[in-house]
Amino acid sequence: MEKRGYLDISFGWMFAIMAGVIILAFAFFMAQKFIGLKNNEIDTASSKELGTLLNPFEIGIESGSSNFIETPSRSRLDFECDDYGNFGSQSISTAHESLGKFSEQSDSVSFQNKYIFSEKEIEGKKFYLFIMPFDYPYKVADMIIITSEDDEFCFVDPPSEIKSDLRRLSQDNFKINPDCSSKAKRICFSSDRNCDVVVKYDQGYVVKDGEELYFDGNLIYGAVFSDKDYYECQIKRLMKRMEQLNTIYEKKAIFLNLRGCQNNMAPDLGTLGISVSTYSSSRSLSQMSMQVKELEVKNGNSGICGLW
Amino acid sequence: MEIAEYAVFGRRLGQLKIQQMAFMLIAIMIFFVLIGMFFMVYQVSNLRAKATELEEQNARKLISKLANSPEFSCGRSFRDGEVDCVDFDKLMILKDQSKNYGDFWGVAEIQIEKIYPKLLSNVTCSFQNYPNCRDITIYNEKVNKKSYVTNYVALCRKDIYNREETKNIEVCELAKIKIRYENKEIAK
Repeated sequence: MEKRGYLDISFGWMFAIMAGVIILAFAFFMAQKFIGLKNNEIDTASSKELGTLLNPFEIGIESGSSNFIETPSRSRLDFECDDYGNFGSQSISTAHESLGKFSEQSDSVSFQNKYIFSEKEIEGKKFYLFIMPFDYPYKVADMIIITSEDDEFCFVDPPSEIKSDLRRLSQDNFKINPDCSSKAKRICFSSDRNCDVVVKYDQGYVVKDGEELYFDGNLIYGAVFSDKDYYECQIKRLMKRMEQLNTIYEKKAIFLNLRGCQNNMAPDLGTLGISVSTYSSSRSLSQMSMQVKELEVKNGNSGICGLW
Repeated sequence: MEIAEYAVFGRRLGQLKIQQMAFMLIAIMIFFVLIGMFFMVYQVSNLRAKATELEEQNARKLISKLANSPEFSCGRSFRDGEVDCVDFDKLMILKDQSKNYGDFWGVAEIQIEKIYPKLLSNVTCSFQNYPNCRDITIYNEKVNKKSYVTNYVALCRKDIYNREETKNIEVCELAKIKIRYENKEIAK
């Protein structure tokens, strides 16, 4: 009797099955790649859209107001700061959750004219943002502070100025002690026990994860809500823009003098320009603070020939 | 038929079937590749349309933001100039410094054109003819550009009133701020 194998399949069938498997594997691989690519496209477009959506919030009239952005599904926002070049850049990338898993982080979209203060990575479906102008002494930029609805912040014994800012913002995830939940991050102004962030308001610095972040004026919000390295990078970027603006105002002062509108601010602006160009870290803000205040007074006293 | 002849015939028939299948597989692959290519072309055109749409959306929002940015805005130095007011004196300085700004605003051209009171000549602003001029180009990249997106603004400056008495005054005129984006589709 002729001996036969277990499977009585002709070569044609075997060939077809193998070819079929290869084709299906290839199709599956391509489909997976395509889904990944599509996710990346959606997230990159979302990053760009997010940047675009922030534009109207930055117009002067919106300063000091709070708003929110809601994403269709739970999202992860990633913020990067780069201080290279004349202005540095702000990058945003996003990832969205589908089937309980986050897609890969999208390609980042860069903006040179945005200053977002936040933790480097935040997650949620609803993101609160508010705008605070950075005037030093003239308006340098609008700072955008973004937090997730998942993160609650509890302000313990804030000074009256901060309290009135918080009341004006009336942001749902900002609470003033004692109306805080137990999971809220505690931002303390008077004691440093059981606190995530300690604000030394009069000394002009914030202690966070054992590190000191120095601030002046509205920069306090940037310091409270950002990571140390990211905060320092954003301040460097603000200083770079300030350097350009300072030159514009210095030349404007001279130009107005020549056109008969007298003010004596050009030399002071020149001195401030030197301080700004040699800026190294937020610790130097306290040294600049005096010059800024002097210029503020001079501009106020210049009447119609004021520069800003 | 002899057994030997039958075996040869069977082998040839098998080879023919394999060849047939191979051709069929190649045809199927080519078919799918073609479909894939059409699909990719469609996707790329969709992506380009989406990019253009996002850019236009950005342009509409940026134009209102631009006039209020610190480099342009009147700030508090003009009595009525908190919103949509552009400081003409500052623009003259910015024009010379715009090379430092490069791609800062993300647009290919920024121009401000005075529209009222109407000037008899179309003179571009310089320090020699200031403020009796019509338009000022702040930034102009040498690339293919799309059409202008515009917004109306107040163009204000400090001046000297020289009649009965000499005093400093604020003069505001009506102007248009115009921006243009790079046309990337033509560039490609």
